[in-house]
Parts: sequence; C-alpha cells; structure tokens
Amino acid sequence: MEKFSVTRTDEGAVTLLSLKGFLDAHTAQTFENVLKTLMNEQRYAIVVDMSELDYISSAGMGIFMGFIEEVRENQGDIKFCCVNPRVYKIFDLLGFPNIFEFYATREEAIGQFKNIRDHS
Amino acid sequence: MLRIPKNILIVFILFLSIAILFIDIFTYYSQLQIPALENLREMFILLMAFFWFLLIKKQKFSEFSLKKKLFYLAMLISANYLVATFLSIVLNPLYSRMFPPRYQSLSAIIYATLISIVAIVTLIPSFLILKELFFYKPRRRTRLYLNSFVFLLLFASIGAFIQKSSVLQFSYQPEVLAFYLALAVATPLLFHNDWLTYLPRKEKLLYFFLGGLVFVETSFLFDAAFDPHLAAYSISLATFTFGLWLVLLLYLMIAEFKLMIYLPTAKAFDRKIKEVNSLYNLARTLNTELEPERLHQLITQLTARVLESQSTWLEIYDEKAHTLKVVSHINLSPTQLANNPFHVNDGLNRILIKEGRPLLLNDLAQHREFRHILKWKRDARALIAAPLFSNRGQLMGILYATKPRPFGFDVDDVSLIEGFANQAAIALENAHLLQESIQRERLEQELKIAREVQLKLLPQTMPEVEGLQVVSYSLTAYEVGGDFYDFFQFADGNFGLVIGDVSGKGTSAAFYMAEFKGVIQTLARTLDDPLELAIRANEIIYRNMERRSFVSAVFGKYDQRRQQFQFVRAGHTPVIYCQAATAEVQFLQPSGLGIGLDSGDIFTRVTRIEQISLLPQDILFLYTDGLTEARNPHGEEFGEERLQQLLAQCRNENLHRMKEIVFDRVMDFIQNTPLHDDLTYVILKKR
Repeated sequence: MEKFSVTRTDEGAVTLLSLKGFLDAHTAQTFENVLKTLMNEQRYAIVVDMSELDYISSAGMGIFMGFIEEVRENQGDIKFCCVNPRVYKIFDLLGFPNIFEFYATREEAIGQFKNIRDHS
Repeated sequence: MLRIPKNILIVFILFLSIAILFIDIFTYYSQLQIPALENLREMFILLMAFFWFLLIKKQKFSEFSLKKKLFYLAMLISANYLVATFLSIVLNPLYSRMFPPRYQSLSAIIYATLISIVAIVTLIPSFLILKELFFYKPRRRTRLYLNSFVFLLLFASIGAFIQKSSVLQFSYQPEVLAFYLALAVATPLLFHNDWLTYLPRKEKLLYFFLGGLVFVETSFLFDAAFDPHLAAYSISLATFTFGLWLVLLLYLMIAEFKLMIYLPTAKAFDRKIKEVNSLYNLARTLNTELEPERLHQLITQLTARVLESQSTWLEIYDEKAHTLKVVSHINLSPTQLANNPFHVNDGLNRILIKEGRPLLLNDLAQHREFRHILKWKRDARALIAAPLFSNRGQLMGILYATKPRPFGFDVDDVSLIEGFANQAAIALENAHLLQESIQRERLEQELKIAREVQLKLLPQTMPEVEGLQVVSYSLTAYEVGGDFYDFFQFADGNFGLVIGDVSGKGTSAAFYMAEFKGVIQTLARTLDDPLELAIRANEIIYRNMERRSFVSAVFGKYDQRRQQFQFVRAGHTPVIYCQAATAEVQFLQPSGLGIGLDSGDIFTRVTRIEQISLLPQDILFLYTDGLTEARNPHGEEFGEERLQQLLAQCRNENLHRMKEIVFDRVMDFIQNTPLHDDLTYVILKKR
C-alpha cells in the first residue's frame, strides 16, 4: 500500500498537485521529484490540494521551503488549498500561513493565478 | 619395477641387436641350425623389446596433452611406414616361401633386422599412447582387459615361437587360442574413445583427416613393412607385433568411424559446449564482481565475445525517470550513444518488456517499423536483444547485440543471450543488494554518531535556579528526530532555556542542533530579551542553514526580579501553563514563525513575546511534537487533549514524579509502537 501519492493535473499555466496520505521524511523524496520536474518544465504556478493529506512532518514542510525561492523568483507561487484542520494546525504552529497563502477551495487558489493565465 | 639407468638400457639394446645380427649372419652363411642358439636369439629379441619398453616407459606419456599424444602416435606410425618403404626400395629383400620364412639374401637379413627394430621402437610407444587413450575415461575393467590382452598376446607369441607356426590359422593349439582370446579381451578397449566426444569441431576435423592418413598407413604397414620380414626375424616378435598392430588398426578404424559420425553435428555440439562454458564462466565471473560499474563492463564484454557480435551494449532501467540508459557498450560511437533510440520503453523495447524474453531481428531492413534503427546505426542489420528482470520480475535493463550481416545470429544465440541476461540480472541484483546493505550499515553508523552528538549536546546536569525547579526528559527515536533543549544565562544573569526541534533527521539534524546551540549560547551572553535572541538567532540560522531545513523552538527566560516567565514561540508547540490558583491547564500559543524560514522581516513582524507572572506551584510544561504526535498501534496520536488531562491530573505531584508519570502514560499509550520522532519535555515549577 502506498503511504503517499501525488496526482498532477495541469490546468492551463497552473499545475494542481493533489497530495494524499503521509508526507514525511520517508515519502518526501517522491514529492520532491514531482516539484523538480515542474521546475524543469518551468511551471511555477502551483496549487497544492491537501484535502486528502493526513499528515505532514517537518521534512515534508521543508520541501516547500526548498522550492519556494526559485518559484517566486520566476513570478510564480505555491499556494495551498483545502487543508484539513489537523494538518493546518501543523502548518499554523510553524507559522507557515505567514509565508504561504492558504485557500479554502481549489478554484480560489487557482483564481489567484489569473494574471499568469492571461499572459499565457 | 626394474630401475635400470637409461644409458645402460641403450647399451643393452645396442648390444643385443648387434649380437642378433651376428647370429643371423653366421647362421645364414654356415647354414647350420643350432636350436640352442635359436632359443638364445629369440630370448635376446624379447629382451631387447622389453628393454626398449623399460626405456620408453621413462617417457611420461600421461603428462602429454591429448593433442600431443595423437600427434606422437601419427608420427610414430608414419615414421615406421616411411622407413619400411624406403628400406624395401633400397634393399630388395628375398625370403623362402615356407613358414617361417628363411633369409635368402644378406639384404634380407639387414632389412629384417632393421624393420624389426623399427617395429619395436615405434609400436611399443604407440601402444603406450593407445593405453593413455583407453584410460582417458577409465572404466571398472579397463585395466583388467589391457593386462589380460598383453599377457595373452605374450603367451601366444612365445607359443608361436615354440610351435614354429603362425597364429593365423584355425587350430586348437593353445597359442592360437590365446591369440584370439587376446583379441577378444581387447575388443572392449577398442571402443574406449571418449576423448574425441568433447573435441572442438576444428580438432575433430583435423583428427579425422590425420586419422584417415594414419589409418591408411597403418593398414598398409602390415603388408608393406611387417609381413614376411618380421616373421623371418622372429616369430614371437611377429606375433606380438601383429597383435598390437591389429588392435591399433581396429582402434583407429572405430575412432575414425565415430569421428565421421560426429562431424556433421560437431558445429552444433561445439556451440552447445561453448554456450555451457560461457554461461558457466559468466556466472563465475559475475558472482565475483560486486561493483555495479565493473559488472556492466563484464556483461557487455562477455556477451560480445560469445555472440561474436560487432556492437554490444547494456542499458539499465532507471525506475524513477522511467528511462533506459546505456551503462556500458562495445563499438558504439559517441554520436550513436547520444542518439540512442532505445532509451524509452517504446517500440522494440516495449515488445521486449511485454514479452519478457529475447527478440531476434534477422534483417532490420525487412522490418518497416524498425527502419529507424538502421538510420541510427547502418551496420546493425541483425539485432538481438534480451530484457533483464530481477527476481521480483522488475525490469532491470536490456542487453543488445548487433551484427552488420543479415541473419548474423541464429536460434542458439537467442538461448545464449537469454541465459546471459538471466545470469546478468542475478549478478546485478546481488550487487545491488550488497550496495544497499553497505549503505544501510553506513547509515546505521551515521545514526549512531548523530545520536551520540545529540546526547552530548543536551545539558548533562540540571541548572540551579533560585525560586524555580527544573526537570527535563528526552528520548531519542531510532532515527534521531532533531529534538534538543538547553539551559543558559542571559546577559542580565537570569535563567534562560530553549527547547527546539530541528527539521530533518540523522546527522544533518545533529549538526544543525550543534550549530543552533552554539548560536544561542553566544547570543545570550550579550542579550537580555528572549525575542531579541530569537530574532538574532533566526538571522544567523537563516543564512547558514540549508533552505529546506528549519528549527522550531521556544526561547524562555525566567525574570527573577519580576517573578515572571517570558517566552517566544518560534513555530514550536505551545507552552502549557498550569496555573495553581485556578487549576486551569492552558495552551499558550503566541504568534510566531519557525527559525530559518524567513530572512528576518516576516519573522520580526510575526513573532510575539508572551509574559506570565508566576505564583508558587505554577507549572510550565514545554515539549516537542514528538510527545503529542506519539502514535498508538491504531495510528491515533497522543494529542493535546490527552496531554492536557494528564497534566491536570498529576500537577500536584512532586516534579520528578510528574516527569515519570508523563513518560509512563505516553509509553502506555503507544504500547509497543516504535517512536517515529524524538520525545522531549522540560517542566518548570515555581517554588
């Protein structure tokens, strides 16, 4: 059984990543590879749907930190949506909402990239 | 066995042969028949043969290679044949027509003497070599047959001399019976020709033609060289020689016949042997090599050698990237390497992977769908490829070989490359597993170091703080989670503490921990304010830490004069405040950001300091998420609520007892589930 999985959906210039399961030190590599691929493809408008994410560890959060600089340097962003309250609490403790934008729905998060979509 | 020196044997043989010659010349001219002299002469002849046998036995035929033995045999027989032919032309011997024949000219005496000596000299070593061939693969009775044959033949020879008659007749005389019996016991030996079964094709061909020549020579030998002369010289010698000759001739005939039967299948046989050998060699070579890179080289080299392919290459499957990469090759140009069309699971590869067995394309020009391969590599007319699968059926790679000639490979090559691919897969998997276990061991070692570092970084003694009781507990998880805590003094002399969790695990966490501890210890000396400490620490750590790493921490200070606890929560778990007066257990979570996430602006804006005035019996409980995230076998977390209830229950216990109760309750909760993170807590109690 997979502990963790990522599903990628491209919606125009925005890439939607749906996370499922446990994102910790053991599964972080899988997710990191996905983000690396996006960087290679120069897709910097990223929405991470966490509705099915059950847990995130510090190593998991570290992955976002590892990519956010490159993403923002390229006028992109990583936005979170649909984070369940338990996981949000972990993000909140660390102060993540001060660095990343959290949205209640996918549409809202994707909508934030409207300007990028218009350009492309 | 008689041990007579070589030189003495030679002298004996020379003496005997000359003595016999004198006796013959004397008898011829005197026309006298002296039986005693004849007996003596016959004895001399047999002795001479025996001495020669002793002499030639010193030559260790058993140490010769099979090839050398066979060439030696051919040489001996040819020499005999040539000498006999040459001498008969030069000497023209004449004999009486009776049996035994009598010399009728001096030339006959000389000829018979010479030819007899030649017969002794060549046939005895020939027979010794024949014996080696019989014993190539000895069976239970081989020795018995051989000894019986020699014994019976000797008996027949002496008997023939005594009877002065030929053994080649039908009679019930003992020597005649002995002669036929000798031939009978030698019959099984004639079929002892296992040495030729496993000969390579080229040698089979060579020995077939060489053997044919020797067989012809041998068959003429009796008439051309031996027939009347040997009998004239000595009946016993003639009989003995005849026996040996007959066995030699029949043996050659049967061997030749067998070779002839084997020749048409020799090529297939050769291939099979080569296949078995090369597979064996491969298995042996591959099993001794554990370095994957060297293994890749070996696999291509051995495949190329056995398939005699022009180009050979091995591609290894990258599970993550889903591509195949050439890891070793023979005769691929850099351009061909760069444009290799076989790096994806497409076309040919897809068929290979799906079918899971080797594929042979006899002529790529005939396959429209694979034309692009020819464009890539013009001289790849015939192509053979085999997938490598691990024990679990996971694709590991593909082995390819090409030849410039269409139909360059055949069905045997398919089974060969299949065997190769299987062996290679096993070897590669083994090497892989070994590498993994080495890696694991190194990781274990690293973890051990990390754990030691972590333990050394923790305070070894509890601080003495006036008006405050301090206890702490820390349990390291198997993989070292990065928890730490430390006590220090601010510049104003007040007690300070920090509890934190470095993200990441293992060695890197341990090193960041050490760095963090150093930074705090240094900064605290010049600062009075925990918030200032947190801000400055964040600046330093942000610059010196890997981007994806960060620290969550609580910086606390006990202000003695104001009896106040001030703290900053930098992204860490809340501080639990157990107020003695109200019996409330509160989670204090002032706004704050983890250390190392931001260069400073956001951190400074977000992070707040909280101050609590402490009254006696007030308790502050600081912990890491390892405590609340400890899971039981059902995957449930210990959680804040349980912690809150627990602290409410045991708040009035002695502080050390409280520390133990917390630990015991957490352990009861998780039962035997291993901790996946460190578990640390510090408890402060106002006296």
